[in-house]
Amino acid sequence: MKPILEEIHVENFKSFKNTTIRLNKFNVIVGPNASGKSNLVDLFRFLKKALGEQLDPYAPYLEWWSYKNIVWGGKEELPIKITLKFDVGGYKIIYYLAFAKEDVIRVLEERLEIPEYTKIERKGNLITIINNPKIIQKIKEKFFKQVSSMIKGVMPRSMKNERNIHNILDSLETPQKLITKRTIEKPLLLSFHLSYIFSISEELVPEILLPIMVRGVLGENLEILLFKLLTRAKKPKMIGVVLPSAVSKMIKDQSLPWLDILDVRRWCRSIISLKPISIDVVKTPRYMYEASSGRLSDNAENFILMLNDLYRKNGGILPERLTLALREFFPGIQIGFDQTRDGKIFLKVYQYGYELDPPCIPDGLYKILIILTAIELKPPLLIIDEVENSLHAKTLQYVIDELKNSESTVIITTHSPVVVDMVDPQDLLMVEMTPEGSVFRRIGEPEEAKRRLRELGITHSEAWLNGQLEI
Amino acid sequence: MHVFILCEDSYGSIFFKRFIKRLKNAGYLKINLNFGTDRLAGICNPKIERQIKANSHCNKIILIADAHGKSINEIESRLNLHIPEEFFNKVFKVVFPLEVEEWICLSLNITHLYDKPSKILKHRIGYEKYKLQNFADSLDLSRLEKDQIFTRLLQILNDP
Repeated sequence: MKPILEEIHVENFKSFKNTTIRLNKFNVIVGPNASGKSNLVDLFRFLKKALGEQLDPYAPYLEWWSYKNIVWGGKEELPIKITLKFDVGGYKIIYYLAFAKEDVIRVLEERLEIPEYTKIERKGNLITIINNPKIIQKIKEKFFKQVSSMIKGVMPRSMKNERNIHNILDSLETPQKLITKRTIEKPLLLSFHLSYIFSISEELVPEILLPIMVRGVLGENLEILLFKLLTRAKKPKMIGVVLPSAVSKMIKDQSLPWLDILDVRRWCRSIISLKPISIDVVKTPRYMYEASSGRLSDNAENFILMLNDLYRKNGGILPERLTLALREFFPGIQIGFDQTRDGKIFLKVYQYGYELDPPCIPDGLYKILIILTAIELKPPLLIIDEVENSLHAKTLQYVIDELKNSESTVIITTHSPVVVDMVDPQDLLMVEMTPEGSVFRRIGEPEEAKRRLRELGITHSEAWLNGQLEI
Repeated sequence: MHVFILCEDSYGSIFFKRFIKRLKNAGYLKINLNFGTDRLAGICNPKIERQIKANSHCNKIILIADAHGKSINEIESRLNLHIPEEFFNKVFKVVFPLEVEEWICLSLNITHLYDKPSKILKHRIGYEKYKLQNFADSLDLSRLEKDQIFTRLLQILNDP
């Protein structure tokens, strides 16, 4: 079960002053120059750096030179706030964080939340765990006996009495506070990896008590994860979090009560975000070690190495997805790899038996291979800026169909009326620049829009370019 | 005779290009056909009208669409809205009740009672849409002969 990004809310990042973007599985961003399309691509590149990479020093803005260049209006005093809303198997999971620039960039505030169940907040050094008191009340009222016997089974002997169990349940009802022992500039609450979070707060490995199942509360099963934190204080501290057990069932290793169903770090690291591609950069032979990140870079400069890796893993042939597309759109072409004398890898192409070295290989061939390789890598989110460049209209149609049918959530930006005509109006996400920043909108009633365009006898792109889709 | 086929998506366009060639070679087509295929702009896209006009030199234009469980009549009516009146006699519609992958299920004797054929095939044989073209040469035509959509398609192609 993969987390699916449903919505992103951004404050003070580049042209996004206070912007909400609701995503479908396939999204086509259209808008005039300087409306904010590429800023959305930049936002995900920033997230990849800020949340997905281990940076030391922690300066995820460096690609843009300074914090001033990524904050709204260049106002360094403003915090950048980002909220990511995911769907994980029907449950909503929200991750929020706010950055600010002081002497260095630091995370001011973070929150990881399953609405109506539990919320873990961090403000500076203070971590607060807030369980929904209504759920705790239900557990106490209806299921106390069952919980009581189960808790007794896992409690240290000294705590096996009803008063303590009452106390523990009471303590879960009110916000539980922890203070981290050291200042943490980087994001910390990147998953429900509770033992990790607690060990940072106490700087000691917490003793983990087994999860307790509570069946049938609110029509579903819940799970209380209990931890005993070993502190230097005399009494150990008990901490508990209530989670829907349908979520906690996804724990890979049942012996560890932590959840990585939403690992924001891994999710962000796996994003593929392709800038408008300079084919000359892609054609340049590369050393194998440049693929060490294992991820397709934003300008696709390590594409040959990534493709070579897929080729080797697939037993010396291209993945079928690529082979079939080449057969259709580049008949007579075969792909191979070769090395320069100094060990750099480059793409070798044979067209009806004639050998083509990189400078002679068509740009469109590189472009389709890059996009299909990105699809084959199955990122959770695939973003392609200016998808249409170098591609013939029929090849572009195929690429659009491949993107629509891929396993990833896809965002593409385009200036091309051809692309607008190929997609469904409900896939379009229109962006415009206002004095209050970039605003994203979808067509309110796509079926009504289609009916109107049919009556007018005009295409989607004609309507879009003449403002008819904005009514 | 010139026939042009417009399919639901690019995968269908490539599939039918190969499939019709196979029907030709297997002797299922009684008349000599020159044909081309392309992707339909969408079930309800004003561009369909232009695609039809752009292929007005053809004797027949066949629109192939998937109903995805909706009423076939509804899909046909929606397509009709985009067919210019003067082309009504040369445009034909072939609508699969669910999707073209029904043929793969039929051919492989896989039932699809509870889910879309493409989903069942994904689960059973690791099917993905881009693999559709592979089945153009391997579908069991003797099994397809019992399928209404297949017979309708043959009827349209063979009608002089």
